[in-house]
Amino acid sequence: MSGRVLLGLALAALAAAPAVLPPFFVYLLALVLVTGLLATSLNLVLGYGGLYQFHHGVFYGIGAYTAAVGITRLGWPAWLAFLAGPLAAGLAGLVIGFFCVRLSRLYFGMLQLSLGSFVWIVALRWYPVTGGDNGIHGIPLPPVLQTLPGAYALVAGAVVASLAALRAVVRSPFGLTLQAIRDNPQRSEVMGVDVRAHQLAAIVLAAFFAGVAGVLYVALERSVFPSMLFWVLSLEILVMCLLGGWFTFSGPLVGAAVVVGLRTLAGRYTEYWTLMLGVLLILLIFFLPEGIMGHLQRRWNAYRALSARPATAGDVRG
Amino acid sequence: MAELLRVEDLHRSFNGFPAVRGASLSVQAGEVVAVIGPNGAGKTTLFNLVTGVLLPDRGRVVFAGVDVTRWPAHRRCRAGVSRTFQIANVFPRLTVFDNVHAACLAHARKGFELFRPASRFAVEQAWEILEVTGLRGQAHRLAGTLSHGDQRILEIALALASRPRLLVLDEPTAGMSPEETASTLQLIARLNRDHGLSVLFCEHDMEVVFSTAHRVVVMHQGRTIASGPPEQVRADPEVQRAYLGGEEAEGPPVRSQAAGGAGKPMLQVEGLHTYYGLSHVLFDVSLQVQEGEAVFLLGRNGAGKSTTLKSVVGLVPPRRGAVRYRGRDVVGLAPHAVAQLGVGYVPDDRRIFPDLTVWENLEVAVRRHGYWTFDRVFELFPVLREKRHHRGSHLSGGEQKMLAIARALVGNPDLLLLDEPMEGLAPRLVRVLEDRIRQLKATGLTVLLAEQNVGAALRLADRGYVIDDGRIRFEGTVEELQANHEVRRRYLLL
Repeated sequence: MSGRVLLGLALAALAAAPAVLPPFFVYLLALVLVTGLLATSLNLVLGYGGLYQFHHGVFYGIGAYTAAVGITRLGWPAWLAFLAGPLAAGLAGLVIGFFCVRLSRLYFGMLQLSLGSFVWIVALRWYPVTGGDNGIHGIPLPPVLQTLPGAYALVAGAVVASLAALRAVVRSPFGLTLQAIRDNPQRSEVMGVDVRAHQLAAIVLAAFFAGVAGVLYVALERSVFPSMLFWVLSLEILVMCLLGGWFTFSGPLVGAAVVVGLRTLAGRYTEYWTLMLGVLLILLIFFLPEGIMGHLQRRWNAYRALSARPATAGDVRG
Repeated sequence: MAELLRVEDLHRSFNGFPAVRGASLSVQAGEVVAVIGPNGAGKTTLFNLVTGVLLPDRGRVVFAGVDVTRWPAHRRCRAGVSRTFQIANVFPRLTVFDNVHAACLAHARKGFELFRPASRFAVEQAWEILEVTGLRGQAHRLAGTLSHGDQRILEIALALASRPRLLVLDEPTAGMSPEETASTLQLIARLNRDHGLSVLFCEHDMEVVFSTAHRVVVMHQGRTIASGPPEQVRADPEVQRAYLGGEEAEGPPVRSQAAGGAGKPMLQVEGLHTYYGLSHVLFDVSLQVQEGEAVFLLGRNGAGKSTTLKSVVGLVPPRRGAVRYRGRDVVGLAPHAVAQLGVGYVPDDRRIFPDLTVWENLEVAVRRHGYWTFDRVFELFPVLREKRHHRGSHLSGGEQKMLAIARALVGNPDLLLLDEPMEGLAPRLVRVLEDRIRQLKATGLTVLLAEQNVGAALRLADRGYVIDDGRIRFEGTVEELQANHEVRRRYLLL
């Protein structure tokens, strides 16, 4: 019940934001939403799938670059480019994932890093198409997206829809199967689950939604940079998942808000904001190993179990 | 009866060690078949080959008339082969309900249903299976927090969710309490009778085997050596020699001078409470070993024997309680520090260094010089001298066990902790090893022996303890234990 109320409040706040917040904070909120979607898409494979997706940023970058190149070099209309971005990212997920799911644990992550770095170097060096290390700037968009309220509306709407879809996936039979695979792939296999096929499907889905985040970034910033494909960004999203709690759905969103907020707000006063992030991470590892939302969820569950005890007293075994 | 499963001359090696070399058996529709054989006979490998967890080097697996030899596990499961594992193998972070629900969804082929909630599919089936297996009351607990016995039952529930035609159970009652064992057997019998489910299982508990199976297949050193109705197999002289008779080794019991516990206390364990993560495994375990004594610690699989030894040597530090070695508190010391005090430990899983030669394995273990030189160790285990230049991974299971013991000895310990030294050894080797341990006792070494092989332990030790469910249930001499039928029946299943 209270969960629905909370969700309603959050949606109302998102809708009201452009009317009440100064433009800078509207922009910041949009950035948090885009990054939050990116981190949540990673968490589908990381937290729910138990896969070491070390280079998720690649799919974000591919989504963004596809849209940017489509508009500036190929003259596509914006809607086509924005549709092509996530599809290209999903396709890249299919190709990279096809090889990665054949490897276990750490090797999965290492292969992903190397394949991803390959994509990065292409973006960095193929000047005629990708603009090389300059990236692509001033991407022409329809007039409505050139205003902040317009871009914000697109970002907020698409992120809410995407999160709803991801939430549905997590709760679907597919989501439950994915969690079962995370806990025990061998057991899943002998239960009749094609483990690799599920893992690959999860990677494609996650890549698709990372691609959605990528095109939303283009809508918001009207530019792309090769650093979107660099492994440092992938590490940052990983940190967001861990920080927020990778066994919860909302954790990565919270983690993204913390990191983006810290970078933007503290970054205005000091270039050492990463130092603050580092200290925060160390504290977290020691005191909240399950992440912010993981910790809150555990306390909430404990509270509910305590208040519900009289009703289920019959369950207690002798 | 129609033939449901036929296994023809399967072979499978691991790094040159043939775990299964010539296994053949068949299961008719509606039949319950047991596979017995000593530890390390290849039973689990055989089950892995039947269910597709491993693929064979050679041989055929035919299920319901179809050659499934190269099929992956998930495909065999869909064809109707479902299994449990020897070690509880569930989804620890999911609730019991979600565990079974996931299995039902897999069976219903809903794994790729992406956007509709899982709660719309296969929910009644999941509840039905929880009902049948008696897990309904615990549906909302996390599977990882269930007791060992309940996790084993959840295993069976997961296997049933795939609506199998053949249920393959790897030691289904290992580590279960007698009541849990009884109810599990009833469940298996009911499924067989009411639903015509065929069952292939392996088990060390002979009562379970002879009361449940229609037919028994005997495995020995990777081969199936006999097959027939339970009474016939029990009477087969070859089976007696290879497996059942292994218990009746000759040789009178040796009593050391300190028998009866009159010597100086060497090891004192008091009120030990040990946890693995959240699960509480040892409850108030106390025991004493006097200098020069050989003490047994008996109990079934999962009773807490290994954990007790690991708590003593510091591998799994206890949360509460005291461990004193020669009067000195060693709780909190790192395992290597405990070893340097003179405590030798032979782990049940051997843990030899696979890439080092036999000689090197021994060399790294020398802590101090004393009675046990390489020559004396080789005298004890001549086969190790022959193979001193072989790499550890190329030794047989039994030889690895000897190496593990030799490695502990060259450290010249004053107290030797042996965890299941007999496990995984062929019956003949068990007798050789028994002999050797007797010789060790004669040199004045103090021994704490954790064993499942009750016969051997009682022949070797002076007195000791019986542990069950992490609690000491009995303390006394060998004669007292032999006279106490209640303890033997309840905790040792004799």
